Amino acid sequence: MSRPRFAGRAWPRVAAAIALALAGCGGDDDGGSGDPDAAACELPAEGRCAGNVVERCQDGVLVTEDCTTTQATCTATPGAGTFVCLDACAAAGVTEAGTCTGDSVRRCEVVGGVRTVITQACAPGQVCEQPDGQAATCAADACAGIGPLGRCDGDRLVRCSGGAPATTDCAAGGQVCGYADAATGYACVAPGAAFVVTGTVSYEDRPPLTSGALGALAPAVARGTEVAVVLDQGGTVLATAHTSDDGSYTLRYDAAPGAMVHVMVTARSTVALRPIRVNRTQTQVHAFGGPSFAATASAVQDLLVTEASGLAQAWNILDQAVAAMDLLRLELGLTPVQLTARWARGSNTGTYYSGGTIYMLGSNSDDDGYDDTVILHEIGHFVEDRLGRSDSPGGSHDGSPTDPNLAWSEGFATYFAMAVRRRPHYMDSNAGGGWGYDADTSVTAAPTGTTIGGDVSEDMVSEILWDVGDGGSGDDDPVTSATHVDVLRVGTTYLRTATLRAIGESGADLVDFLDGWFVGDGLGTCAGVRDIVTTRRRFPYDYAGPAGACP
Amino acid sequence: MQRRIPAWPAALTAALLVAGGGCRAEAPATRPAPTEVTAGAPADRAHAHAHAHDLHDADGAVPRRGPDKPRAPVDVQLAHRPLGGGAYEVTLSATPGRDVTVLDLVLDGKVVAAGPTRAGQVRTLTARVELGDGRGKQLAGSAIVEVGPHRRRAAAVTWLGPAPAAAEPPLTIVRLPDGTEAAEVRP
Repeated sequence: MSRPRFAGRAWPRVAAAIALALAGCGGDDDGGSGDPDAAACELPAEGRCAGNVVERCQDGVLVTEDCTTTQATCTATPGAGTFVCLDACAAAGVTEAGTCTGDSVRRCEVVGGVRTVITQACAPGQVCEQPDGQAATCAADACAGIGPLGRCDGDRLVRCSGGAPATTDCAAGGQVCGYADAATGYACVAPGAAFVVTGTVSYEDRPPLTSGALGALAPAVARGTEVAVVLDQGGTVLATAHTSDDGSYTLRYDAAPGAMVHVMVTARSTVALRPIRVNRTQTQVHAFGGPSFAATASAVQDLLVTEASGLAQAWNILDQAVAAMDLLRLELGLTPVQLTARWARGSNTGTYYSGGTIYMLGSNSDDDGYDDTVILHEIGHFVEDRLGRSDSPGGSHDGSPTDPNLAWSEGFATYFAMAVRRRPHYMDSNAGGGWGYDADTSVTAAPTGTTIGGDVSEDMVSEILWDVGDGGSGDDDPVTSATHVDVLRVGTTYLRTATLRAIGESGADLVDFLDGWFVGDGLGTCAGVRDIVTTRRRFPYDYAGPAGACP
Repeated sequence: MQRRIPAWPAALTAALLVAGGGCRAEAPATRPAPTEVTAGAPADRAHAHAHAHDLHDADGAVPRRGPDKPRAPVDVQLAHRPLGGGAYEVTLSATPGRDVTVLDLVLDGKVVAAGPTRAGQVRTLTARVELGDGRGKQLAGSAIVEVGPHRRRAAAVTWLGPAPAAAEPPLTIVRLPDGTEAAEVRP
């Protein structure tokens, strides 16, 4: 099975398809119909779309071409702006069988009589797979539970290779399965250590509900967390490893036979692919220890980080950070950089981002340790700061129209949380229950009469980004071909490197995102974006950015 | 200090005392002392335009604190005063940071719609809460306001009655191989 990632958009194909479409535009044999009795044709030279019908003047006579008859779409060619009937699927190189784009399926479907590119993001826990010669589909991730470090099943090593598990019998080579180091993970190693302890690590989670309140306690896998064997007397660390993505671990160690030891799990990952730590103080990382046991040839120790211990939230924060790091690495191709989180029960200094660290509330009135979208929102600011761009002036923000740079930064951070979870909900619990909203179904409009540089709501920004990035057959907006990765990539490429247009508010804001969107995606989504941004939300973007003018 | 919160006593009774049949539009005459942390947005909105290219100070020495998380545009406070016999008068005060058309006050399971409220205008809801068994109780109150098509809620808590003994779990510091200190809790 193939699991292609990093697939880019195929604009050269667009140009070829447009050339074909234009080649058919001249003469009376283009499928169009002239009206010899019509008055002098007064259309613009490039023609126009009347619904899904191309209208243009030819020798002073109105010529029309109903694109629906060929399941095509009336659209303007990029640059020249000439209106043609374009097969959107052919232009994008997308077939009915589809292709995998990251963890989304991109296929051609006939929607309303028109061939349309549909991008369907796979559900959480699924990946896009396309066996040779077959259609692309979403399927359960065969590598789920393995992760980048592999895992041991007894003395069999399981690694993920090409999107599928690959098992190696270490014993066949006279070796054992064990943890090599943070760079290699689990591997077949020489049988040196006297003792081994295996088990799983999980934590008590309270999954957020869409209302904003938290759900009931439920165990969750602690993936990618550091685990150690510690000598009870003196606290010496005898060996360390990281859990696989199913929470399992294998630790081989030496100690005096019968010496009392215990397993300790720390809320951090020192793996370069997931450089994360969740600290209690500036220097101390959270740690949870299991019961003592005598060092013996083989032991099993399963750890559950309980809420009663006051630490479960630390592992939830770690888990959200792992999800974010994996998205950045696997979907956007970025090199992870160190992220530090600070949370402690009772902490009441606020939830915010500063200098590579996210700070999370842990107070009685508002504990954000289980608030997945709040955690990921702050990680979104980390992404802006370290991998993208932020010109946020700071200050309080509550969803009301505010400074465009602040609205962009906050709206992007909220959208980042939604994109990582592949769900359009923002949720923030508190002692009163909390609050939440659905960015897919709600419409926050710009203030009446606002200008392109006027104050807007952060909610409007996150709604726009979600609508542009979501897709699928049931999409409730007209942009069906994009993915959340396409949207996020604007933040980590165009906004990071481009000289922004001097229009509206200076500094990165929604206008600059839209500029970058059309630079990266072309003008094929002009009509859809206009519907989402301007028709539905009244934001007066000028559709005349560096990619050219939208028709 | 960490404080362990016991479960709420089931036999508690509460009586809402809503002035004039609804929320009072002014602060209570005898204002009880607030007792604990509140959560809500400040009434004013900072709107500085000193754009930083990132979230660091110019000298790179001390990271500048970024904006707090998205908040509800309402400041909420809870205060209480003992009435004797294990009873308390609890007052929830909600102050929107901007004009709102929806303001709901929630206290001890009761919801009162205060309706349109101007920025800075204080709405209050008072409840009588009795501690039947003499044990302490954490009480939460909240206010809900509209933000465009959405609703946002800010909350506050207060502690009634005897405070529970602090029960912070014992920590052991374990030094990891890279020198990092791990603050270990062992149940």
